[in-house]
Amino acid sequence: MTVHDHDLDLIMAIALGGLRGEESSGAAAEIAGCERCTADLAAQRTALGALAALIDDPGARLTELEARRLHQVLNDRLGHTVTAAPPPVKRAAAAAAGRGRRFNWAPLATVAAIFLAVVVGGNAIRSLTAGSDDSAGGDTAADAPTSADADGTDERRVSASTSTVAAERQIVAEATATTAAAAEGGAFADRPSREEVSVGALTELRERIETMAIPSIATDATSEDSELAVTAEETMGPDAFGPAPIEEPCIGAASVFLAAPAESVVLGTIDVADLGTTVVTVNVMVDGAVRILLHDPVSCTVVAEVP
Amino acid sequence: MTDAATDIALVERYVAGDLTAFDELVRAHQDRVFAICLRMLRHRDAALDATQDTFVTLFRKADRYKAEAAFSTWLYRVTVNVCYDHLRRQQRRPTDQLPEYHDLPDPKAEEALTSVELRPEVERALAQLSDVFRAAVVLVDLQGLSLETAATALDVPVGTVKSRVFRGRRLLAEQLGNLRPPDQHPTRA
Repeated sequence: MTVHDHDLDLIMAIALGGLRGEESSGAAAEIAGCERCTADLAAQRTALGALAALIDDPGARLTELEARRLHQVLNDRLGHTVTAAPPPVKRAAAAAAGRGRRFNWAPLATVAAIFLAVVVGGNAIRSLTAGSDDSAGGDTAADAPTSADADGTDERRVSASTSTVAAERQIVAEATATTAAAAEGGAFADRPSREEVSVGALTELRERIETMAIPSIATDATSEDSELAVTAEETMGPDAFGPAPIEEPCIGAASVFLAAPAESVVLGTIDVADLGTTVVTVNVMVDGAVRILLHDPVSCTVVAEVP
Repeated sequence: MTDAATDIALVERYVAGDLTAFDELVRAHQDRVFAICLRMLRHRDAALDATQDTFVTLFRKADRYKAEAAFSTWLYRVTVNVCYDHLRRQQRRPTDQLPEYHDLPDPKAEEALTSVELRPEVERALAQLSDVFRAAVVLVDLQGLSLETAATALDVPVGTVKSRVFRGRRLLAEQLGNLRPPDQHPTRA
């Protein structure tokens, strides 16, 4: 054993500040006589000081989404349920998208309510006068596409994992109440018809959003949310999106489908060729990739992914 | 009941067939396991994969745990071994690199600005250490394990851990010295 090795304990103890009083001064005197020991002590202190920056680093903890992803994968791999905290549905994210400059639906809702009253009132009058049972628009929530309708299209992806299905069942259950409430209020069932968009247009939207930084769809209702809203409007047209009757269950479904994206927001509903009305979620993955999912507007089941 | 006694009771319940006990073990240790994996592997996705593998191993081999050492020590040994496996796989597939780990924005964090600013440099320097030195430094200096516990977790003598920590810190200081001018070396607050 060399002299230097012999002093290893002493140097580490001094570096950690574990010596006091005479013990400390004696150790310091001993170290002072050894040039390499002095250099080593300085290095130990430098390293410890630097490492202190990493202790209790909040970035070194699992985020809620990562924890969910961990539990989900353990469920899949082990075949039993690792219970986790309730899905961290991003209320703020959904709300933020809704509060964005182009996605403030309050005025639209008022207009829609007036429109609804006129249409329903008109229908009632027509029914009374002509005996017709023709409904207004005929595009009710019950007519909306389901995941079963969507089978067979290339760009559509359906989750096959048992646990995912179970999770989606729960989400569907949660969605039912919300949807029922939405239907009661007429928020979705009798909306004005919109022009259908192609999946290709949504691909362009995905590519444009991908050039934006993740914070651009962050949860706070900042101007960055407006940036997302403006991008969506510029790409898809000013009237492409309507209000989503349900948001949180769709964000939950997206999280399950994509194994926990970093951020998710609901853009609204959009009428897609061959799919009909779908709820659109924009999801930024941990690696920065953007994935846009189209959801059944009733159950929130993912019916397609934008290529 | 202490944490250690709780862990042992949970393992016993799980081995006896109570799956909810496994859930509790996961939730109790997931953050620390992830933190070790993150410091060892540096990439969040890789760390999450390693965390999953660690708990899968725990799920399958919990019956092999003997209560001679604390459960957490045994779990850290599994964690470090899983990380070594991941590092070996990464070395075999050098082109399959994941994006580097970066701090997630956390407005609630109250660390001193200098500490936050230092992190990327320290992470880079830590990543330059060999796997065995990094494991020793991570367990002792970041996770706060005693040399004896770290020795058990790493399955090496205490003297070996001590030497690895000592040399690891020295190399870390050298790395930091290469990354910034001498007059800006970080010092303990």
